[in-house]
Amino acid sequence: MTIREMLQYLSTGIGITFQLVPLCVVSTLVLGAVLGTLQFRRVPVLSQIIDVYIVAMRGVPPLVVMMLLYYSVNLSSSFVTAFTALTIYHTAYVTEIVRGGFEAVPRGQMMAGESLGLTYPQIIFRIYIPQIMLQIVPSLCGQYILTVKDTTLVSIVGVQDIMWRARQLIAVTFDPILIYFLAGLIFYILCSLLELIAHRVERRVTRNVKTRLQGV
Amino acid sequence: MNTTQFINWLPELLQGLGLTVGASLVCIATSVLWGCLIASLASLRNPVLTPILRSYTSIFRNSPLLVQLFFCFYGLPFLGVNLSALACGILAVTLNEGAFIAEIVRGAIRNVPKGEIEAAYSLGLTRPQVVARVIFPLAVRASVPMITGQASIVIKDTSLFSMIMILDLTRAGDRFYSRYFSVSSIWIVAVIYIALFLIFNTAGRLIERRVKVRR
Repeated sequence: MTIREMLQYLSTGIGITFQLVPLCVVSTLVLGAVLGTLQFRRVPVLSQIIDVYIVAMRGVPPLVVMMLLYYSVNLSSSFVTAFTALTIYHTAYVTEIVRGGFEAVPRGQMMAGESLGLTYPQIIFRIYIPQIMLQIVPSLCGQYILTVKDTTLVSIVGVQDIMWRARQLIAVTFDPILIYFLAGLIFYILCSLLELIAHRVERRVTRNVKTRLQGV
Repeated sequence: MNTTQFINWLPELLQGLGLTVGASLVCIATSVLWGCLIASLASLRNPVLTPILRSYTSIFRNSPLLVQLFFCFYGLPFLGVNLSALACGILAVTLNEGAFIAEIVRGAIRNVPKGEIEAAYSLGLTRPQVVARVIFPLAVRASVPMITGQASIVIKDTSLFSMIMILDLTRAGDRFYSRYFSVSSIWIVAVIYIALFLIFNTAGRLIERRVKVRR
């Protein structure tokens, strides 16, 4: 078997990552934005529950979250199980990132918005979100790099991902060194790209802040 | 889960817990040492060494731990290196987390105030002395909060040990499930992980307070 054939076989497995990660990005962003706003506003009972959830997710390994979901809930397919587990796990972190972003906006802007007669949702959507959108991108990229790497765990719930395929290949070629090297290489390229985006955006954000300060 | 099942499972659970705690502590120690070593070697600005260390941290940070773990576990015997499963696990986590910690310490090294370094040079210290006596202690103390944060990730990393036939906390829970088909064992394991995280986190805070750089 040539390296090219191996890469071809492995890259069909990386397709799972390409499907899972964008879906997870969307779901964690939506849920994280909602929960993050709630956390920022400190809604009485709800925020305490979210606090517990965040601590739980910071403590529990993603593997255990996946097992819990796989063994206790009967979802339609292993792909859905993997997606749900990754969403549950990473939403906690995105929530923290969003809340941190909101808290970085000076409090005076909230008051300014209120004094102009804007409603709370208007303040959030018109003042807060446009400002933090770019600023949280580097942290979000960091989080999604972790998501990409966590997709290697989905073979435990029966998804035929790159790790599963790697094992199949090894059973044929008996060359774990080359195959895990190739698998690692594919992930390395993916994660490096995400890191590059994060750096680009980070540089732009700091430049924007600097020019804004110079303008004042 | 009934009482008899639980009592039968308890020794396994305790063994797994002991392994997870022990392996985490060992991994934290080795990866902090390894990370500091890499970062301080890289800060010597050797034209050959620094690019090599840079690519090492970039490769190990940007590829999944599971791949590295499997590489060590399945691949190393083919290279003539025969390690036990546990040693492979500790090696993989150390290489992986060491790269993260090296990056943290590197950032801290860059943020050491220029004035202090110049002061050290003007006192006649050589470059290795400056690194060892001035830059390194300051940088390590400044990076303690992030290192303790990384330490609690190490506990989670050790859950991957269950995939290379090591009886850790995760595998103990999994074993109960495959014997009795009751998911409650996984819940117990999850709660134990959270408790471990809280304990390590509190310990980290205490250390942070002790070594905080006061200016």
